[in-house]
Amino acid sequence: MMTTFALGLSLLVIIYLAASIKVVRQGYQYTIERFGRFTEVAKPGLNFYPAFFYAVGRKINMMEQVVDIPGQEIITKDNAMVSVDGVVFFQVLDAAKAAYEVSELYVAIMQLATTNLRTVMGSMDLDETLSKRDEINARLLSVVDHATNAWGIKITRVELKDIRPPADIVNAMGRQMKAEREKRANILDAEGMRASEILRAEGEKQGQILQAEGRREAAFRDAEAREREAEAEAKATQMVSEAISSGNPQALNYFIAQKYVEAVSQFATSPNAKTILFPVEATQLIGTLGGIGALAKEALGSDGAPVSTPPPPPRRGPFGQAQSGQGQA
Amino acid sequence: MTWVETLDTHWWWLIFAVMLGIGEIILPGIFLIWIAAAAAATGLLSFLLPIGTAVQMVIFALLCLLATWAGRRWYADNPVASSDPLLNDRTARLIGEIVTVVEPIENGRGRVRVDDGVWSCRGGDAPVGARVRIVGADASVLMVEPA
Repeated sequence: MMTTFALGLSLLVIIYLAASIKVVRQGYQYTIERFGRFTEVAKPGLNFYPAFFYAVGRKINMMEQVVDIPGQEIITKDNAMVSVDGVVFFQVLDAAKAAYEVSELYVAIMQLATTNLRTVMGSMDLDETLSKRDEINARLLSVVDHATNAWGIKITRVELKDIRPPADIVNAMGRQMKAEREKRANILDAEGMRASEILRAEGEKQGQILQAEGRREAAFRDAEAREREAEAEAKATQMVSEAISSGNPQALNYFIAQKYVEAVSQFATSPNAKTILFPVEATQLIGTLGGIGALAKEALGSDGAPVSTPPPPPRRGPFGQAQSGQGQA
Repeated sequence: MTWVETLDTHWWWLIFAVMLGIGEIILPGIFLIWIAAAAAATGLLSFLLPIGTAVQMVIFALLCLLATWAGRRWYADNPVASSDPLLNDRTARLIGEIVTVVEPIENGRGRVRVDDGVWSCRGGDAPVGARVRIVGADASVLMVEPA
C-alpha cells in the first residue's frame, strides 16, 4: 500500500515536472497566465513555471508570416468586374497584445485586408487598378498597418498577386493595344512620306533655283558678248567706213563682187545639179562684173566713171557673216 | 509491485535511468534528463544503502525535484548564449538607425520609412523629410528623436 502510494507520488512528481518545464523553441513566444491572468511572456529557451500556479496561454509565432487574401470579385469605379487576390506579410512584435487584444488574429487580418482592398480598388477605374499596383499596395499597407497597431503586429507588406479582368475586357484591351500600335505605325508612315516629299520638293526647288541662276548668268554673259560684238561691229563698220571715206568706194565693190562670185560657185559644186535656184537678177551679176571691170580700169589707171551702179547693199554684216539669232529675244 | 522486490532494485533504477536518457534523446523537451539523473542517483543510493522500495520511490521523487531545481539554477547561472540574440526581435534591430519621416510627426505621432516599409512612430514633432533616429520601440510603434 505504501509502495503504491510512493509510486503514485513519484508519478505525480514526474508529471508535475513535465508540466512545469516549458521549453520554448526559437521563433515562438508563449504567454504565461497565472490563475487565468496574463503575467509574462516566456522567451525561447528553458523556462520553469510551476504547474497549478502557471499555465501556458497562447503559443505565439514571432516569425514573419503570410496570410492569403482569398480571391474575390471587385467592382471598379467604372463598373468593371475584376477578380483579385493577394498576400499580407506580417510579424508579431508583441506576443501579449497579439494573444489577447484580438480574438482571431489571422481571420482579423484577412478580413481587414479584404475589405480595404475592396475600398481601395473600388475607388479606381479599371485602367488604374491594372497600372497602379504600387499605389494600391501602399494604400492598403497604410490602412491595415494603422488598424493593426493595437494588436502588437507589424504589417510589413501587402502585395496584390493577381488582377484578372473579365475575358471579354482582356480581349478588348488586346484589340485596343493593337489598334494603338497600328495607328502609331500609320502615323509614322505618313510622317515619313511627308518628310520625303518635302525633301524631294526642296531638292527640286534648289535645282530650279540653280538652273535659273545658271540661265541668268548665261544671259548676262550673252548680253555682254552681244555688247562686245556690237562694239566690235561698230568699230569694224567705222573702220570700213573710214577706209571707204578715205579711200575709194570701189574697194567695197570689190569685196562684194568677190563674195557674190563665191556664192555662185557654191551653186556649181552643189550636188543638186539638176536644178539651180538662181534668185539673182542677171543684170545685177552683170552689173557686178561691170563693177569688176571698172575696178580693172581704175587699176590700169584709166579715168572713167563706173559703168554701172553698184548693187544695193545687202542686208548683212560687212564681212558677209549671217547674224546669229542668239540672244535676239 | 512484488516483482520489483524480487530483483536487485538498484538495477531497475539504473535501467530506468538509461531508458529515460534514451527517451530524452528521442522525445522533444528537456525534462526527462533531470528525472534520469534522479533515477540514477536513486539506484546508486539503493545499491549503497539497504532501503525499502517505497522509501526508494519517495527518495526518487524528492531527487527529481532537487535535480530539476539544481538544473534550473544552473541554467539561470549559465544562460544559453545565442549567436544572434536579436532573432525574431525586429524592432530591436532597428534601434540606432537613422530614418526619414514620410508622414509628419504631429502631436507626437507620425510615420517613418524603414527599408521599403513604413512604420508608425512616436517622438518630437517633425516635418516630412526630417531625419530621425530610432531609440526604442513599443510593439510596432517606433520611438524616435531628431537625429
